[in-house]
Amino acid sequence: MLKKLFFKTKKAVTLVEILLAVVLMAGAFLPIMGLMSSSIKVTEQDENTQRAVMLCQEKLNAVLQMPFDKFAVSTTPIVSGTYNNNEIVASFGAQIIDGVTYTSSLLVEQYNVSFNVPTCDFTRKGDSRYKNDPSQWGFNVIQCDASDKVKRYTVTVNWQDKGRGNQKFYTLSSLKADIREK
Amino acid sequence: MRKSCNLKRGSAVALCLIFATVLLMMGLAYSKQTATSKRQTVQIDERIKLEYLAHGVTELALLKFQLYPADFYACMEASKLNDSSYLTSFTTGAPEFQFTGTRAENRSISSFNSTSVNLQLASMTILTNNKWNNEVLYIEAFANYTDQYHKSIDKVVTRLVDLDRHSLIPQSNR
Repeated sequence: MLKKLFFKTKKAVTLVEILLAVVLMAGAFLPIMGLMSSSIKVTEQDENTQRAVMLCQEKLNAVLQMPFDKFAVSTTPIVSGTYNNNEIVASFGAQIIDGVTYTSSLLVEQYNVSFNVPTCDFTRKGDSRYKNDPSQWGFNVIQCDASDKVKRYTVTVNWQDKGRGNQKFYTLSSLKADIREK
Repeated sequence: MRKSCNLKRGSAVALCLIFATVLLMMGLAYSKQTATSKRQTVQIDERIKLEYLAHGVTELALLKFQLYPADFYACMEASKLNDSSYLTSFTTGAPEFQFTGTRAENRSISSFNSTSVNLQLASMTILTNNKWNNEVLYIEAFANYTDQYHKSIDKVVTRLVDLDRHSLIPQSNR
């Protein structure tokens, strides 16, 4: 009776069919699982990068807000220490966030710049005869060095992703000029 | 009855094939989404870099103005008299405000991108017509680079500076 029910009937799915279906499903699932796994890894790496960018931005913002004379020009970067001015704080060195170690440093360099200034003869400019003719004002471009008034701040954050991740870094750089406040 | 039973044979494989195809399509869409997300993350990071570099240019422009205000105002006056060449050579045309390639970006690199950056002062002008006392200086810098997907990434940084303009010449002689 059982034999008749299970083996003679053609209504049921055969073992070969089931096996074939399982193989096909596995073939479809495996790459998707691999994809999801690598996607999780990429997302984790992106998160680390974003955190490094935020740290870098935070530190550069802080040093840019500090007075021009706060940091001396040097050929070697500041790799540790905390610097503050009123409520602004910038610290450099290692810090661990969510199991990842971020190491930050600041490099302060002199920025060599020379301004090209078109300057005029103010006596001629004030002369009523040439008042409406700028070509008679005696414009002349002079070069003026301002290297001692500009510094370049470079903040670098290094980190290594969890597992066998490579050493990574993110650098932000900007200029700070000796600008007088009102 | 027998015919209908025969039709059902192989239906599991057919269903499975359809399901597997749908899954693969979903997987491909997911993969594309991840790639796009990664690309956007890199672009956001690089834009921040451009912003700071452009900020540096505005800082230089402001310093130049602070050191040579009388010359800047003379160039502005000449510009109002239809000769903007002096203002251009003071501001956007000045070589100290134009950087291409390595000079400006050699410090701003990262492990995921180190393409060269173009930087320039886009505009520098006085927005107000007061002439004396309170004035507003407008500075605009532009930064740009082409990413690894050959897409041009731009960033514009503007700065408004409140100025107190006073003359050394007595009011009666101006």
